[in-house]
Amino acid sequence: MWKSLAALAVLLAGAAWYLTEPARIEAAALPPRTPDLANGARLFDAGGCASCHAAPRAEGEARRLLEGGVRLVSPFGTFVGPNISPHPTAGIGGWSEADFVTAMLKGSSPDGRHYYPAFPYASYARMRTEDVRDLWAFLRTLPESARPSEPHALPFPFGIRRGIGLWKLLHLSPAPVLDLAGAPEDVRRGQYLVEGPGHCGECHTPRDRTGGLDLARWLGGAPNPEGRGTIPNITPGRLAWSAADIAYYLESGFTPDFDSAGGTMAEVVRNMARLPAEDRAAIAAYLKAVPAVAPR
Amino acid sequence: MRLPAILAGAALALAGAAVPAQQAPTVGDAQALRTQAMKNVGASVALGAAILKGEAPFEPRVAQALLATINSSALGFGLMFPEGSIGPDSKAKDNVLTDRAGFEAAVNKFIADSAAAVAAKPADMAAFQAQFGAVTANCRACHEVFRQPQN
Repeated sequence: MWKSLAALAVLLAGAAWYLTEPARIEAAALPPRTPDLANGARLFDAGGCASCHAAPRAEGEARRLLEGGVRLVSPFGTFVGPNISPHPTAGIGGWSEADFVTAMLKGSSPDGRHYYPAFPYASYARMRTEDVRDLWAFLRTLPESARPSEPHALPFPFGIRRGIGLWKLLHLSPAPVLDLAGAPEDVRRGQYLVEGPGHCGECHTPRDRTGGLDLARWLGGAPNPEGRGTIPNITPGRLAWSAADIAYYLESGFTPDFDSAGGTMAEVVRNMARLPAEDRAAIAAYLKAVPAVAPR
Repeated sequence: MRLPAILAGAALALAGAAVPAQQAPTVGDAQALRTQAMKNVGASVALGAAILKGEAPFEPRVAQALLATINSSALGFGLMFPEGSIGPDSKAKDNVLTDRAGFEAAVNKFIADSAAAVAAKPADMAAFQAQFGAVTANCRACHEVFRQPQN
């Protein structure tokens, strides 16, 4: 009997190892094309890359120097944003385009390790490959930084990356969150921005016990991962603002009562303010269209 | 002729932040005092934004009044966070007390910028826009560090 159990254990371990193999997108899957750098710049702002990869509280030109260093405190430990400037050794200048597309859409590194989902690839996985390629081309135009990336500070067992492969089986999918087929164009554009590069759900949606998003309460608000308080419910079940109010807030940080966005949302507004007005309007239109989640 | 209408509009905007007498904060309730002080700032910022958007006409005395209201709230604000006054339902982050020096520096900048705007007495829209922008830059700078995410 013990031999059968041992054999079963080996079989399960092998299956787990196989199932948690990091996925890769190969260069052969990326046909030659001319990148659209303006689109890449727009996605850089929509995706909020500077907020985690530029220096903490960077403003203006400093937001283009992706030297790393921002700390994200979480229940699993402290994550530190790495250097993703085009520096050949300290940054990702030595990467291929396929390496970057793999990181964004599959959450795996060029040397075959899983990234922690603090890097919100579970949202970026919903992006179009062409958009990710445009973003890659844009990132390569940014200045180099030689600042070494710092390691994350994660207590046991969260330092074991292979387990993320199991998490990905549960929670990594390119499928849209909502079925909005037939919705007007601005709502669908807003859906793409919010569910994909904007990764709004990562903070605004509560998580289940496996650390994945509880999509039944999409954008319905969640405990603040960085401390006390809550991240608001931004569905029509709680947010009574007009679409114009939402768009103005994303541009200025001011609520309809002229309160000013606090905490991490201030940083989000910095990025949203740089988008074209039609993108903010699209995000607002989507937020008016999502299913209402009742406040708890 | 138009001044009464402008002043009436300004009064209405400020009235949006007003508190009914029976609910007014009292000395000793620091959280209620500072919350109302900030609501008064919000009403003034709302009026300033309306002026800049062309939804309300620019009138120097009205501009002066709203800048003075903002300065007035700034003056007392740093005194409204005594030890132990950040309860679980407070929108302030704990670092207001643990990083006292940083918080007071932020409040001092808010006082200085709003005082400078009042002293500048902006006489036209361009001057007002410059002063108002300098004052309202303090909102994000302070809230980003010392306020909970839910505004």
